[in-house]
Amino acid sequence: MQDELNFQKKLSLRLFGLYKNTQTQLHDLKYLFWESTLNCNFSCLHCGSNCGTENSKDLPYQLIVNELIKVKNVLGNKLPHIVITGGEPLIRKDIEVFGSEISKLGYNWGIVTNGFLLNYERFNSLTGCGLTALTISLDGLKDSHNWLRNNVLSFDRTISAINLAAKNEHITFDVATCITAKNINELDEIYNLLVGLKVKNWRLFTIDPIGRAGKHNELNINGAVLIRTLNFIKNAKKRKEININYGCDGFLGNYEGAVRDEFYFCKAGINIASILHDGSVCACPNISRKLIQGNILQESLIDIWNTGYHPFRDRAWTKTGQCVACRNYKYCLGNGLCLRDIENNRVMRCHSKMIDNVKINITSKL
Amino acid sequence: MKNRIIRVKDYLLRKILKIAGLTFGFGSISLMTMCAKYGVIVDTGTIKGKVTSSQTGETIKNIEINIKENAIVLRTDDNGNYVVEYLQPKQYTVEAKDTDGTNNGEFQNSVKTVELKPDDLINCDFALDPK
Repeated sequence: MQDELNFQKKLSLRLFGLYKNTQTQLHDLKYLFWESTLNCNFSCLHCGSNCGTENSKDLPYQLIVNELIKVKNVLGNKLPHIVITGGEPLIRKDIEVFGSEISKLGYNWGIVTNGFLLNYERFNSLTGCGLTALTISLDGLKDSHNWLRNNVLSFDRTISAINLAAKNEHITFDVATCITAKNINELDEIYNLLVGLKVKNWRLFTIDPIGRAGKHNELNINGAVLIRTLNFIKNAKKRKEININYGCDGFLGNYEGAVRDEFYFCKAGINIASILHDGSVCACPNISRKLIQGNILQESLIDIWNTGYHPFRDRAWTKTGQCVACRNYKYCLGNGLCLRDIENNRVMRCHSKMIDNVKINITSKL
Repeated sequence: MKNRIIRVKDYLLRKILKIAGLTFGFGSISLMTMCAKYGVIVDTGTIKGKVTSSQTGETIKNIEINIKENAIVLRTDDNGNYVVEYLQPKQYTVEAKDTDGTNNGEFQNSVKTVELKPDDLINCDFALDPK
């Protein structure tokens, strides 16, 4: 039995559904990931991409710049934001040259980093080359963060990087925290830590059963942990000390509108594309590589964007298994594509069902 | 044409959703913020405007609009309008330049500074003086 959405929420979600349709039809490229490397200075237990210290062969940055020139030639002034990710992008020495070149073309760009290599000099060098947005991952207090990151120095270096970034007024900065069974009890203390550091934006998401994270059951979360996380966000939002949000993945039933600045909308392949470390073109980098749409070594990114991405724009194929009878399917369309097992066409995690199951268990015990 | 209709529909829906959000208590809903898992937050806003002649009030087409901080250069349409979307919130210097010689009259350049905040829609109109 699913939790019934109230009238206002249903109406708002219906309206939002119309907006999602127009966005899908328009198919504007607004957000482009560049998975600059699979190499990483850490080997985190919860890494969704299985990154590590092994040597992956990365593409030269000039290839990406060439693609972005072609994108600009077609899109004119409606340029997507470039998000450099990894692995750990700061391992690459040429990020600044890349950033500088694409800034001259008119692109805004940002980086997602674990913060370990982000010292004062590197931070200034990145902002000097046009960095406009930065996300630093912090996955718990000292012990749990260092344990997850497999590095005893990680927490201190990350806090030092957060401190640097929070003081800068010219970039959009946020801290991202992956909630696991290991750090769920630390939310209040992390909150106080970040508010104390004057961090303005904090994003929480729950661990996904993909990559290396899928092999560590002790980190996995259940419905009760998800509800605890969502209630924490809901309450923290009321305090207005920090702009706190749940990550983009997962339709959250009655929590929609309460824990995010937008209703659930998986924009993968609708507004979001990625160039992966080997030149493959897909949507978000954490989506199954079975949905790869092409490769920039054979075809230009903008051509792939304009002619491909059909499975992302028409998601009727996701209505299988538990989604068939779900009354919320029209709002959710099979949950985030990063949470789908493409090979077996099933949803690996349904947030809405996780929430409902906890409520059913509580009701049955009464 | 079809694309233009969808864009108008999209714009109207954004406005309606904003009102619905405020009415139903989802006031913080922002449709101009992009964020993906393992990605950065991208707040955006829009600068738009109309270029007219300060002497006659008539709109001027083909005026070059230069948004210096983003290396964006575009031209006003037949009705003197321009629009630039998905801009990062910050201060921008917008310059209107008559670069087509005596076509559509000759006008002096003009520069304005605007402060764009997340979700903003800023009107940056120019009334150009004749040369």
